[in-house]
Amino acid sequence: MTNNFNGESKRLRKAVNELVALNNIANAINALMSVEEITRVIVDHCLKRIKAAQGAVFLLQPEEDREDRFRTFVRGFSRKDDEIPLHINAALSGWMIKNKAVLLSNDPETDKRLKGIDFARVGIYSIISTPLMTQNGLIGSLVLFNKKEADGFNNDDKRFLGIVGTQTARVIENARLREREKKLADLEEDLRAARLIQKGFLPAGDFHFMSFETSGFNIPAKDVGGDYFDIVPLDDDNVFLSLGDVSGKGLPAVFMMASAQSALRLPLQANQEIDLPGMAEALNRLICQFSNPEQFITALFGIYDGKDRSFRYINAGHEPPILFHRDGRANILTESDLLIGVLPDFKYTERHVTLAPGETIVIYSDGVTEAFNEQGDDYGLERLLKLPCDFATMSATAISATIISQIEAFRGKEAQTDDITALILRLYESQK
Amino acid sequence: MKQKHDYREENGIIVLRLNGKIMGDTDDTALFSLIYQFADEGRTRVVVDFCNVEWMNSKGLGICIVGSTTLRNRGGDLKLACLPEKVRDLLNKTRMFAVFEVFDTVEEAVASFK
Repeated sequence: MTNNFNGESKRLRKAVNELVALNNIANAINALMSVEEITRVIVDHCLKRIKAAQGAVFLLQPEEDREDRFRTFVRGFSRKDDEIPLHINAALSGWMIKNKAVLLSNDPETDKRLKGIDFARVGIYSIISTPLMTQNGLIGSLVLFNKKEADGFNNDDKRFLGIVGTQTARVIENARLREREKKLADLEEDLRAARLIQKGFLPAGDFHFMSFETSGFNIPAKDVGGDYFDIVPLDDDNVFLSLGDVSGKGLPAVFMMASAQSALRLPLQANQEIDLPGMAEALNRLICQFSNPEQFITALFGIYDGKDRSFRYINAGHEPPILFHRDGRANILTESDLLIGVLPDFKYTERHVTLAPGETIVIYSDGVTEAFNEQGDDYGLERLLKLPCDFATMSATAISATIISQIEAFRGKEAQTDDITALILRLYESQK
Repeated sequence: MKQKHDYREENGIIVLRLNGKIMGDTDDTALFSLIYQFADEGRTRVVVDFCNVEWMNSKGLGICIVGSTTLRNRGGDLKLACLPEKVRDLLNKTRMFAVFEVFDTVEEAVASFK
């Protein structure tokens, strides 16, 4: 009877110690800790409680086909000189992924479950590992190595680690969610700031010159986009116009847009003949060199000179501008070159058109022609050619407004997926 | 979710079939990852089949050029087959016939790799 009493007392004492250990872990963690801090606390407590030399948390990487799906997240050591080079390779991680159960091995060298690892070489003589499971499945494992007692890891250790594993998984999942939410909030703040910067780059308002006027607009899509337009007066009857569409969205597109706009503005400041093909080639080399291969720009830029009514321009892979006559007839200016950012040595060709008084040129981004309605039809070049404007009398500002209202009416409830940008150059009937 | 574009392997050559309008949307730019994957796997000989393509803009062309450069840098190539008239016009305008090998049929393009 005494033996039964002693046995029971021992079991109770063990259970209490276990609860105390679990409570200590719970107390050591607070909600503000990072995932790394939390798991470090857990590993350190487990090492002390279970008396192991080394422990680590390994988290599963999302890629299915990597040889080693686990990456070491946190390592703990009970003493500095216990440091063991460790690496969970395909054998152990494969077993964890397949079985999702606690693994205890006091002779890993001969353990059939752990083939292919030279445990003796790395100085590992006992292992205990518990899966970290959430409702989404296995997210990693908590592993301890080298029990400091001769008998090795035991069932009590297995039970304790199993309980800690469940709690650890939950805690990591919650901490990750918190970190993800914070990252999203930071990113939204960055995008908001980028949108303000982008807006600042665009010319405000419409311009009036001696013999012509210009109007431009940019309606960004929900994300920060890469369309831009620029109107730079060169004198009272001369203007530099450009409209660009940078591939992609978000911050990289904004940066590229800003670089392109600056690169095209710089040569305008020098008091010399403006070499449009040279500008295109310099911009092209810049983008090819400094951006990643998947980033490119379509651009249309040029100079309108009111004295001879000539528009000299470069079309680098952009939508063809439209020349509207006073009576509404439209010509598509189809000549173009390769877009910017693909072939660094591409040679660009200057195009040229001479306008008559009362004529209008519309330069636009593909957000105009590729605006989709609920039926999946795109607005298209055909509709743009039939823009319902009285080109004989309407101002450039009114033409801009018509394009905007036409697109909005066509799109209906369908969401805007791309920036809508356009530039209007309209010649007065006679010099003002 | 239906993929916009699909591919098959024919005697060690990848035939990448593009579908619809190639205008540089997310499905089109996903082709970059696909081509990089082919390159990483050593599958560097690709024929792009345009038989189901309605039209392509310069962004779509840009994707083809980058794909071609990537594969050529790994000792392979990207060839074009079955181009509709609008795509031929685009290649003409941008002088890209000098950059790409173009074939009337996929079979001819595949055979050209041997």
